[in-house]
Amino acid sequence: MIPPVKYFAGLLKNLPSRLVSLPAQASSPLSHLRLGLDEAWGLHEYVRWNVERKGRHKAVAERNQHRLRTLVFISMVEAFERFIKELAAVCVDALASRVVDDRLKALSIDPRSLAAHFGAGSLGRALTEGATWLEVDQTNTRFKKLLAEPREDGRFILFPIGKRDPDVWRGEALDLVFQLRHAVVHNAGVVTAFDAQKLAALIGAAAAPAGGRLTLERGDLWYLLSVLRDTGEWANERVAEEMQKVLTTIHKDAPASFDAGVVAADLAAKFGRSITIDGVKKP
Amino acid sequence: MVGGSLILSADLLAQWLEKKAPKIWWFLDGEPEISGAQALPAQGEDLAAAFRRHGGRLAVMDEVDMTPRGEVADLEALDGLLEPDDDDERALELAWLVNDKPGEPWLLVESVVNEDAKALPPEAWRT
Repeated sequence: MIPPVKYFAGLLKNLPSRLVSLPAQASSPLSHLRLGLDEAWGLHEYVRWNVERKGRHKAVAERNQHRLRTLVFISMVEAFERFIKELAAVCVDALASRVVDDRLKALSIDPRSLAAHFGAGSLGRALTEGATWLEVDQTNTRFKKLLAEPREDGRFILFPIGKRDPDVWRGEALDLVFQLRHAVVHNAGVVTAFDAQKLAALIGAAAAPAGGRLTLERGDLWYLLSVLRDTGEWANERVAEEMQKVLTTIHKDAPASFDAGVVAADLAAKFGRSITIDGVKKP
Repeated sequence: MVGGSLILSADLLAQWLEKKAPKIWWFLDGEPEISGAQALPAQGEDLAAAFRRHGGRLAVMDEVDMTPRGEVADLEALDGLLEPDDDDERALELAWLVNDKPGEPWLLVESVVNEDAKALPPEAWRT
């Protein structure tokens, strides 16, 4: 005999209070990404290590590891989405009060989210949290607008799309894992005919199999971990470089509008690297 | 000496990784400082450089015998701690010492990607 299920449903109301403090790494998008990826990978590594050393129930162990890999895959992709979102929030917070153009129109504004974040003091979080950041084209469009020079439409492309660009593979890999994530999250891992059509286009194949459940093999998570971590570090550098340029232009136009040293120091902590604005370098 | 646990210098661990397992892939599960800058899993030689840059001292956390034994003196003593057991994968639970007190424990563990890396075709290693 178990208690009435309704009793358990009541206990679920405790879930929203089961929070632990954010780690120190959460104050920097890149550190937060690295932590998220390492935690997800650590779960996979620890379980696989312990299961393999026991060497028992091999078929069941392998089946459960397949399921675990799918969960870890989702955790890693979501850590990357959160990173992109946090990176955009840093840009908004640094630029919003220093420009008078319409660059924030690049972000969808949800009034309820805006109200909820009002007290937190981060317009960036309010404007970025409500949206999904799981399409490379859309992410490029948003960053292009956000990081435009004053009075310009923007030229910055975060994830290059030109076939000859040596980094084009980054956006292509992201589009692929974002599409696979979609299949796992929205269809319980089943690759539908629609997913398969998109996946075929993304991998440059005539067709991709449909109707089956995504089953990741050994090694797949290692490739994903490496690509997401390296691409995160690379994107962090690119956005930091562009931010320096835009803020330098703004500061040159109106030197009294903000203290370059204070803003550079704040951004240096958030990007985890030195930042120079109009000749003032921090840290 | 920290509560009777064994102490290991980051430099000695770096020497061991460099000399005894330079091409072995390792993972640091839950390590809070080096892993921020060092991509993981990493080969022993890369991890050695990261430990050397960091410096400091570590407490060995998973010793059953907690009688005071001081510092791990040399590479041979470290061999004893890191030699493979029956599952053929080496692991050591460690914690950074801050003001002579161990912080959160974490695991230095021979990574499962050692097998995955062997399965990669030769072109994967061309830069």
